Amino acid sequence: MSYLLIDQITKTYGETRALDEVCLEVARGEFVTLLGPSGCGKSTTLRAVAGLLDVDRGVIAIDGRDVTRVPINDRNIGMVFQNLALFPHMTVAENVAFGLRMRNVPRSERSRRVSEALAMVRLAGFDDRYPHQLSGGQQQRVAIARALVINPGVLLLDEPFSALDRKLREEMQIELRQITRRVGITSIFVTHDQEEALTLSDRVVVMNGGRVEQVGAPDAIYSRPETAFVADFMGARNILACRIVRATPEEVELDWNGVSLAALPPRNQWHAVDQRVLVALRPELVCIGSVEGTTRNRLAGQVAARIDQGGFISLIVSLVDDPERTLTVRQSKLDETRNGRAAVGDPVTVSWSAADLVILRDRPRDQDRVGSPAVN
Amino acid sequence: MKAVLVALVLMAYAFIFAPLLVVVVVSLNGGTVASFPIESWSFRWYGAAFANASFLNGLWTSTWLAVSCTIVAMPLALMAALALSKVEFAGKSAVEALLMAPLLVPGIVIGIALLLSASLIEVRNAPMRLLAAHVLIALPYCLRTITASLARMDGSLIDCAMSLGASRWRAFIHVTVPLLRPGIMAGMIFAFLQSFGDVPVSLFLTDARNNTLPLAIMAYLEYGVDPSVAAMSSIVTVSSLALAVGLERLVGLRRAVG
Repeated sequence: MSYLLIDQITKTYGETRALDEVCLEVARGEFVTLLGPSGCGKSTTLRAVAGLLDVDRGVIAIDGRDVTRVPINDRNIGMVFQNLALFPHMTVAENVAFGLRMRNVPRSERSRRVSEALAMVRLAGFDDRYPHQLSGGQQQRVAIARALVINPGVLLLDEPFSALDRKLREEMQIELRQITRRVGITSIFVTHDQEEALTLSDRVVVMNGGRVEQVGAPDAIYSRPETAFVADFMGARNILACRIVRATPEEVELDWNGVSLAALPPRNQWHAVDQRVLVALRPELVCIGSVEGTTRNRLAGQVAARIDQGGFISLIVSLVDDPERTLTVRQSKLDETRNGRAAVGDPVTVSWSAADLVILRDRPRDQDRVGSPAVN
Repeated sequence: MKAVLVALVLMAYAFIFAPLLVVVVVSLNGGTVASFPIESWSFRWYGAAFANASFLNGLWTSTWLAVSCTIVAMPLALMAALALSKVEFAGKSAVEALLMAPLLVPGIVIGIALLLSASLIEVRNAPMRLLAAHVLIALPYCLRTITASLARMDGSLIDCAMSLGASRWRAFIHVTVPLLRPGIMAGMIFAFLQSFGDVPVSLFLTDARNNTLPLAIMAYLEYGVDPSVAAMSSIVTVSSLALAVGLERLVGLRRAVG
C-alpha cells in the first residue's frame, strides 16, 4: 500500500486551475521529485501536502491517515522551504530544537536529539552560531536537520537548492540523498531543474498546467517520454508530426510529410494505420553519418547552424528535400573528432536507430495546449 | 569635498543640540535670572524646581500618563498592524488612513474635538480623558514602527514554525514577537515621548489636580522666567536621552528605526 496518497486533488484560484485532479502514490522511503516549469502546480501540490493550502476537492493521506483537513501543525511533516526560513533570532541549536520544543520533548532528550541531528548533517559544534554566520550550504544543512529531527512522516522540500551555485548544489544533492537514504524517510522534492530531478529521484513526476503529465523512473522520463510536453521539457528537441503507414508487432512505419521513418511499436499503446501521431527524437541520439546495421531513418541534409555549447555542439540540420524542415543534432566533442567537424553549409547524412524514435501519447491536434512545444 | 560634508554634519548636530546645551548651562546658573554667559555655578535651581508643587504634580501626572499611554497604545497598534498586514478586507486602506490621521490633524483640533466629545458623553474624569487622547496621538507612531518591522519579516517563517508543530499562538510568541521586538521597542519610546511632551491636545483636557509637566512649565512661564524652568527641562531632557540610550543598548533602537 502506498504510504503517501494524493487522490484527485483540485485547487482553483478564480478562473485558473492550479491543480487539476492530481493523483500520486508514494511508497514508504521513496524519493519522488515533482518537476515542471514555474506555474505547473508542483509547488502548489507540495503546499497542499504540507497543509499550507486547502484543496477544493480530493484526498491526501499519509500512512493511512486522511490529513486533507488536518492543519499543518498536526500533520507531522518536515518541510524545507525555498528560502530555508531559518529563524534569524535563534541559534543553530535553537532552530533545530524548535520542533521538539513545540512537541514538549523534555530538555535532556531535546539536546541529545539536536546533537544527533547536527552530527548527521556534519554541523556538530555549530550549535551556538546564528544562521547569518553560516555559509549557504551550512544553512541548507541546518534547515534539513531541523525538518528531520522531529521524525516527520514525510519530508517536503520546495526547491531548496535553487539559490546555490552549481558546484554547491551538486554537493548538496549528493548529501541530501545520502541523508534521506540513511534515515529512510519518504521525501517529496520540488524542482524545475531536470538534471536535479534525474540525479536525486527514485521516481519523477512531470507536471504541466496543474496536471500530472507523466510519472516514472528518471530513465523512463528521459528516454521514453509519453507526451510532447515531457519530451520537450526533458530536451528532446525534435518532435515530429507523423502519420502511421503500417503497424506490425515488430515495427511501425511512419510518414513524416513524405519522408518514411521507422520506429519500434510503443508499449501499452495501440496505433491504427493512418492515425496521426507525434514522435520525439533526442538530439544526442542522432548520428552524423550512418548508424551501423540499418538503412532506415537516414536523411540527407545540410548544416544550417552550428552552436558550440561547451561540452557538446548542437547542429541544426535542414533536410535536402525540404529545407524548411530541420532536425537538431547534438554531438559530443569526441563525436566531432571522430566524424570530422561539420561546418555551416556542409552536406551531411543524419540517421538514428528505430528504437530511439519515441511515439508519444498525444496527437498533433493537441498542439493548442498550454506550453506546447514547437513541432516540425 | 569631505571637509564640506563634515562641516555640514557638525552644523546639523549643533543646530539640534546647541539649544539643549544652553538650557542645561542656564539651569546651572547661580544667579537669579536666566542670563548668559554664566557668572556663578550652582544646583540651587534644581532644588527650587523640586520645591515647586506644580512641577512635581506635573512630573507625576506626565509620567503615569506616558507610561499608561504606552502600555495601552502598543498592544492596540500591534493588533492593528498584524491585521493590516495579514488580512485582506474591504476598506483596508481607509482604516489605515484613519489610524494615521492623528499625525495629520493639528493637535489643537484634536484637543478641542476630544473636549467636546468627552463632555457630550459625560466623561468628566480628567485622567481618563487624557489617557484616551494620548493613546490616540501615540497610536500612529507605534503602528508605523511595527509595520516597518513586519514588512521586513519573512512570512514563510510563520509557515515554517507551524510546519514544525507550533500552534498559531506559539508561532506568534516564539517567532513573530521576537522578530518585531525592535519595532515594538521603538514604538514604545515614541509613544512615551509623544505623550510626555504633548501640549496642544492636553491643554484642553487637564483639570486643576491633573496637570501635565509641559503645561505646568508653560503656566509657570506666564509669571516670569527663572532658571528653575531650565532645571526641570534639563532633568526631562537627560532622562529622555538616558531612556533612549538604555533601550538602544538593550535592543538596538537604530535597527528598529533605520
